[in-house]
Amino acid sequence: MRTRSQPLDAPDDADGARAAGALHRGLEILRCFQPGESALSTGEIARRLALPRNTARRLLDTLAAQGFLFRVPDSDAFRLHVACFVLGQAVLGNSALVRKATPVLQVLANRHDMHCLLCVRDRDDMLVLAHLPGNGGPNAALDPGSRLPVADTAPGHAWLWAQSSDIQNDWLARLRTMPRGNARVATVYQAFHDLMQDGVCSSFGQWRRDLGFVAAPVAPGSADSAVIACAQASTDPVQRSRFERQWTVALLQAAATIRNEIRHID
Amino acid sequence: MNGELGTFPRSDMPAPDTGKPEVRVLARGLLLLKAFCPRNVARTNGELAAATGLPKATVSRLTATLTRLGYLDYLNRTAQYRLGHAAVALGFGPLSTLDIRVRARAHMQRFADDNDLVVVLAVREGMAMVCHEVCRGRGALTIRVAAGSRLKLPHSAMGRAWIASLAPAQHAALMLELDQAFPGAVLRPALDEAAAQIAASRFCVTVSSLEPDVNSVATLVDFAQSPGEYVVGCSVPAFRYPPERCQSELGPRLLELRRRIEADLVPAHDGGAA
Repeated sequence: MRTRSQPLDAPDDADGARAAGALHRGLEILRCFQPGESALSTGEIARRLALPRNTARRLLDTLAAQGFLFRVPDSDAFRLHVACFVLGQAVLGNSALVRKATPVLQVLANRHDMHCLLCVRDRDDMLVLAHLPGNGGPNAALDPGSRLPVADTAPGHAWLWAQSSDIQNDWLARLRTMPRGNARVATVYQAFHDLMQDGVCSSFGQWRRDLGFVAAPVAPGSADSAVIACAQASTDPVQRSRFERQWTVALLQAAATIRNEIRHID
Repeated sequence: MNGELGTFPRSDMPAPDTGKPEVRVLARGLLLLKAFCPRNVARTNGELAAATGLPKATVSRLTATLTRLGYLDYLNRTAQYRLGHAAVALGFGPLSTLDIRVRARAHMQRFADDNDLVVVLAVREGMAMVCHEVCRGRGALTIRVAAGSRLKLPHSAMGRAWIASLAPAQHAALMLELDQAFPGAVLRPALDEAAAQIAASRFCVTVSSLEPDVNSVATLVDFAQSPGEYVVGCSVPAFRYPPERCQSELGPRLLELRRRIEADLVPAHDGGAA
């Protein structure tokens, strides 16, 4: 598996930089919608992205003309629209990683009646690419496209553990500046310790009170960002420890299977 | 039906060449991203230029920017690009948890189970109806659709229902587009027939229009937040549901499903927006 980045020239002039900036800002608008948010007003979007209202309006109209947003009739509000779905579906429906990992996670989810996830890192979050709900598990609202913060969830900690020490140090330095910074850093170190010892790490209730994760990197030792995880909607300590014990081996086996499957992907 | 369908995206329109530079570069970037849909086939700058009609130098700048932003992956070996996983972060997640879809899903699944069929919630994009939600009954093995499937606009019951909902000016414009997209196809009689059915009974029935021996019924769902956007349709094997049964039984049941979905989605807090 690969995700190479091309060595890129900087934009050759100020116009080029401005133009690239407009593309960046336009796409940021699509990212500023949160789960459960139906429509956002032009003013709210401008505020979130710190853009002048007129600039926001021009970008919004362009996104709407291209089918990425839908302008709510007779109002100043916009909703996400079909082109976002088509784009995401084009990625998910044709990703070799998703294709190889899905059946492995499906087996895992069915066998243990748990929610299984495939995530990759995207900025400060782990982006869910696949969610296999086990039979009868409560809906954990972790559908593809959902985000789990790197700082506060086991999938994020598992990703960070697989990175170079430079990247780890940058992250830890940033974490220290956040609220409860030292406690967060301590949690990450504990996760690193668990990963070293058992190959998996866990987090319970730090991000969403009712939700726990056990996570393992798919390819530890590589810069690749894929992580698999199981999620459980319970914070009961007895259940939690049973959950961790039960899942460690299964999760590591699944990670090894997926790693083997994706080794030859271009 | 709200007459504001002029706001509906014409996603197959080329990017505008005029206007502010920032608008132009965004429009072109979006056009380039869409050039990878629906199968995310890896493409070179030259191929992308041919597919989008943009100058190659422009395409090179855009692919460089989009790769730097993480939305495209660059394949060294073949000098090709394709959408990266980060493109999923561009609105896909919040869209799938939209109230409309989450709530419609529950009603649709019950409908699919009760009637043992496939029911779909779709939105028009370009010359296709894109399936957003697909629910099937236990034994419903008809028509191969899944979330993301694209059904041909003029050949699907849902597409015909959507076309029938257009205001005259938009309808005329779309007919010209259809002529270009499906040259030589005689579409008008079937579309007129569907429009007449919609006018008479608010749903339309198609017989083996997408796949042989599969009949379909469709009707528009009118959400206050997005009038004229979503269409709900169901497909059944023709041997179980001949056209007369679609007309007399399935159509009214689909209208009942539509009523339930619409009633569930009477806007509470953002009612003022509609």
